[in-house]
Amino acid sequence: MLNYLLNQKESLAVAIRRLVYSKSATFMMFIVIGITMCLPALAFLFLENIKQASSQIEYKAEISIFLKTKYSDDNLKELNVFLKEQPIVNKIVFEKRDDSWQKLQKKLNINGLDLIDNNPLPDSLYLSLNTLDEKEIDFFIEESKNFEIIDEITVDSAWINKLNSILSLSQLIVNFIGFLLLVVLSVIIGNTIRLQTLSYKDEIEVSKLIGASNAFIRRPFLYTGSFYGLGGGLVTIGLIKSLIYIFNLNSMAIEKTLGFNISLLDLRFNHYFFTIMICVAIGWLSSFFASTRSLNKIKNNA
Amino acid sequence: MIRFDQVYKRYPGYQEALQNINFEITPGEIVFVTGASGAGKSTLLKVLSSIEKPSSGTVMFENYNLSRAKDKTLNTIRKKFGMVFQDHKLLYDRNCYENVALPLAVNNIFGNEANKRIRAALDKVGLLNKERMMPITLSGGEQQRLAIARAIVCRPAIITADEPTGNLDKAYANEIMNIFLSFHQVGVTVIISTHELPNIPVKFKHFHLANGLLTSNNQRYAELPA
Repeated sequence: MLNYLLNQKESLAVAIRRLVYSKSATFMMFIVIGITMCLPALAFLFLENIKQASSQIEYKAEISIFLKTKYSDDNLKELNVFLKEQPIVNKIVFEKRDDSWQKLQKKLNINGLDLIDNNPLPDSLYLSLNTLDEKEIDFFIEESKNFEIIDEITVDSAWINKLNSILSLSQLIVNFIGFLLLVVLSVIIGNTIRLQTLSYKDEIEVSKLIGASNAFIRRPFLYTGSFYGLGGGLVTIGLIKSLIYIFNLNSMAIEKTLGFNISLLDLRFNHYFFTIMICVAIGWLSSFFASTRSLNKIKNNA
Repeated sequence: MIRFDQVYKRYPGYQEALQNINFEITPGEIVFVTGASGAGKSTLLKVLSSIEKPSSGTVMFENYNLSRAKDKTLNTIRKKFGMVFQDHKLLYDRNCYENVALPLAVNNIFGNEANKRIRAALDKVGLLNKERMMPITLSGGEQQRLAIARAIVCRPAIITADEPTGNLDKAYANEIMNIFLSFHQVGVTVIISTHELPNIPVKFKHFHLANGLLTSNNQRYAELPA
């Protein structure tokens, strides 16, 4: 066990020596990996912020029922009784068409009758619901449509569902792009390690000749690949942190103009930890496959 | 003990490098393999030290059949050999000390024990004062001595050397040969391939190869040089 640990220590020292020996190449690798990983990480950062913002919006499902222009009071009473009986309906507000028209003109600061001859708005009912469950709401709407005095029903919470759908889809796209970039990353690291095995061909040959196992020869390359991943991961975190800092610094001025908060929230520790772990794992795996392939090609050549 | 029994070695597209080779080497012997260039000396040493497998026949080392051994077993066997190569095969990006340390790392020997062995091996070949120097700064003879230090640092039971004096002048060649003799005198089996038999004051075994065939397999005593 002690020997195994000492062997690992020796391999680690060899890997560090090789990284230090080719400082500029090592630094370039860190930058390449860092920027490659930065792209999906940034997309993830923006998605997380949008999710965070959408989760903070307090919303209730509301339904607007627009009535036909001509109906009897009995029909309205009948509808009112039905609505009050519904367990998902919390509050009912009836608004006459003239009131709506007044509100609209006031809001738009216009005199509507200068533009059109008649009030175009219908009488309407605004319902606050106790639930956000789509199935319950859909069932309620279907039931309500049986009333002839109803012209149209709109669900005001639909936008939040659409936003969530878009976010889910975006998450899927980010995951896919992330996966593609991880493949690119593994190719980059694998190729670098392959080139390194060629640079250390003599050492590999001699090691093989004196009885070193493939695992022994491969070990420093695995450490090198892992270090590439670690360095790249740290560069990614540095880039994201810098971007958040710069964005938030500049957003302060814009916020004053817009009147609301647009600053970016930082990712959590586990997100950063996961980023580094992914980079290290990719580095290790691609080094493993690249060095194994190279070792099989380098024959004993005494 | 090493035993070759009807050993053939063919390289694809070439004629047979070794043909029907039969011999035995007992522990502690010193063996010289002579022959012209292309006679099969290097191939014989490669097969003997498990770097290459024979095309047919049996090569026995202790209880291992090298002809059938798997890679993992071959790695274990190679660790029992100390090999000195014709072109030294030194690592030119490492200093003398680090070159000698490599086989110890392969054998999981680290720390004080490793340090002691490295210094002892370098001292044995007279390079202790050059342990921090890079191999490229050494002369041909010193590089060969460094290669010997690397071969002996794990205290192998068998040392093989492929034309270790081929590129050296007579003074350096004698120096190198004396180092090998000193190992033989402490019971290490030494197998050396060379163009010419050296004048050494000990009983040795001599194999002569011509076109892959063993043309002589005898033992003789050499005279002390005048």
